[in-house]
Amino acid sequence: MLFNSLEFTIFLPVVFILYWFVTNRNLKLQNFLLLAASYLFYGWWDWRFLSLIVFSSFVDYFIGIGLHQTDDKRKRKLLLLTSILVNLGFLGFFKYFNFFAESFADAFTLLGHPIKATRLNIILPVGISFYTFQTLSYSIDIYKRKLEPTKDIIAFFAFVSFFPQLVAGPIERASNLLPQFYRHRTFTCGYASQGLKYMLKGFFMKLVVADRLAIYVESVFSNYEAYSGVTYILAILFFAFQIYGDFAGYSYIAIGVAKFFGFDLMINFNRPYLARSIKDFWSRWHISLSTWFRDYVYIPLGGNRAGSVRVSINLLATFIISGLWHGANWTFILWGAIHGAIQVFEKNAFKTLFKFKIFRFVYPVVVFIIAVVAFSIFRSKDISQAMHIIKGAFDFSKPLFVGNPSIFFYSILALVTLLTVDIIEEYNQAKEIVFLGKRPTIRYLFYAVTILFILNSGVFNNSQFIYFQF
Amino acid sequence: MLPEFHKVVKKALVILVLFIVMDVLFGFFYKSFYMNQGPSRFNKMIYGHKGGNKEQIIILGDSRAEHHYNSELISAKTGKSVYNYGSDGQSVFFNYAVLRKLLDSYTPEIVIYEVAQTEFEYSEDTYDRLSYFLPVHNKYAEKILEKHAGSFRLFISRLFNSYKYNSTVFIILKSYLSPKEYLAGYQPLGEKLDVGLFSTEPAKIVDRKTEYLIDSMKITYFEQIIQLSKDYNFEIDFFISPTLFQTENEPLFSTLNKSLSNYKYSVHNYLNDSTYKVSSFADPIHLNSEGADDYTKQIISVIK
Repeated sequence: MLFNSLEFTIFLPVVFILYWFVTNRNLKLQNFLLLAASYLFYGWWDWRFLSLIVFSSFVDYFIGIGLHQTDDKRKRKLLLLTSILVNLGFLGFFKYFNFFAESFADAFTLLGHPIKATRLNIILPVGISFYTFQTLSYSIDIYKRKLEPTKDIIAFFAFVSFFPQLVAGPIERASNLLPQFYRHRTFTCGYASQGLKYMLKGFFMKLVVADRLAIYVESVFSNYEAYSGVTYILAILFFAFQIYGDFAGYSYIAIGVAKFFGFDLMINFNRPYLARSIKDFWSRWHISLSTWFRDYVYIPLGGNRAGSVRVSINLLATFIISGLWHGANWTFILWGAIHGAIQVFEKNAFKTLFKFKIFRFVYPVVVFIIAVVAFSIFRSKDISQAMHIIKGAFDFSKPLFVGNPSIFFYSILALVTLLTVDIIEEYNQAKEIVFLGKRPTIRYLFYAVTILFILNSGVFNNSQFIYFQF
Repeated sequence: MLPEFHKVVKKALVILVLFIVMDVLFGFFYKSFYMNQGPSRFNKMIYGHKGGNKEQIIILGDSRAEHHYNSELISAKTGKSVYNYGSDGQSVFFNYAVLRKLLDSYTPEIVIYEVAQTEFEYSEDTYDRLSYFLPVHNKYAEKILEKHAGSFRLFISRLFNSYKYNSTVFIILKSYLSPKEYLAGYQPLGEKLDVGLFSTEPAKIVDRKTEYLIDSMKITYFEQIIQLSKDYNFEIDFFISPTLFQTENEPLFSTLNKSLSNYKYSVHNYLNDSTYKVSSFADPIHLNSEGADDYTKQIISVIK
């Protein structure tokens, strides 16, 4: 079920009413309702893949208890390994089997021993990258004795499949989300209002910004050999804002929906294109994933505790894996590697360069350009397309492709609006003033205008969210 | 819990009322802005919705119809009044809705129908483009939308003016500030294609459209248009105008010929007519004004 679908507009109020008016006196019943609603929400795509979530939940629920009950190091390691194998096994099979099979075949062919890759006709279950990481972190935290396992099986299953964030995050840690299933939740005006505000912001980002920019981006990338120069530059820029609007939009809607049910989810985006360095970019972009990789990959690899060469390798490796997480394609790996390499550069050269005042002013612009250009690789179907587009961006022999002037106009309007909102929020003392102004009349008027703007300028074609494919 | 719930409902109601007031005001002012716009694709549709000027010959189709059939030339040669309803990016659904609405007020004598390259190809976009009709409530277009995506979209458009006029501001503003030249619906293209753009002789380039998803609903509405010609007793002539490249489109022709032969009709196919050279084109699929005049003269003999 999509947030921007008719089904969801029926589903949400029904679950809301049942949750607050029928099951509100019994916490277990409320959790059970959330679990059932989450399975319905997920099963709407393909009920067969529900079995994967159920199995993954079972495995980590019992492994969590097992880890807590034993002090035997060997047994504990075995249990943790089982969790890792099950979760990454699912992920590896459904997401990476064909990619690795083909890459191995290509490698053998390059070495002069051509072999044919076996391809399987596999459908990628929606959200698998998100919930497997969520369950995996639960077991790892218990293994590290940072977390007590839950004995409440319903609460645990509801935590793994909590529908607002099940298919595209934020990837929640058990230490943040799970305890919220144990405590009695009361309906408050503050939470519901905040929920509505987040949802409004999310729908604006998805319908007005992302889906609008997608039209131009798709027409350029799907017929990329016909264009050059300014067209590529614009398409690359548009895609950077499309993916931001799409993914941050989803996260805001998820946070908003969760608030309706009395839950707090972590903020996943924080005006990433205003970052001052690539390191800063990653503290603002897909925060739940970047912190996951920091805690469960980078730090276990040694983190910052080793010499500079080792730290650089750790950084690079973490970002390459993070790139691979996004999809089974070399484009994602290259995208991750670029981010990793720039961070290595920042780590080693920043102190010296920051002594120059000019660098402090110029570097945020450089960061913006790097982030945007790297996303063109992310969007391309393969490396050669990415290279063609990046190279072509310097060729100004062909005029700008405008396409449909009306769509082009709305695309520019959407991009400028989003950027303006971000800049106001970033540099205003009272953060998110757009949403948290003190005078109710102004606020209410602002919300009414925003709804009108979304209905008048949004694209209502029920399009999927980009991150569903990851 | 209930007092908190009441608080939220109260706040939401205030916002909703504010929104509804603004939406009504928006609709009130925007409607006259919309209905009185200068020449534009919406303006042509509004013209048709009002029954046009009861023209004897009408032209239907996509951008290739809009740019290839010179209404004034046809009118001068045939002595009949002509209007070109061709509209960029539109499909058989649009043609059906326009024709059906015109038939509510009068019956034209001749319909010139330009068959699009994508006449039967499935495309979500062709359904989306039916939203052009939302401000004027064309029931025939709304029925197609309803069949395809249910009635939710129509329900919202009837409820909120802001949605009804979704994404129209730019086109209307442009029609006021920099109106396009429309001659009885026909829009000539002034540009000439740059020969230097092609490394190969363009006539030797083959554009193959081999496999794509056929939309059965498009076939149904195409056949309904033919049926209308029988029911209302008007002449309908099907054309495919030239493209620069040699075009192969087997799925189009097999579907088209099947539909037409059911009704004993045929298509006048100029798709790969080699008499049209690079200088006749504004781009590989659109004739410029000179090319369009030559083409219009060529087809007049058929409709006479």
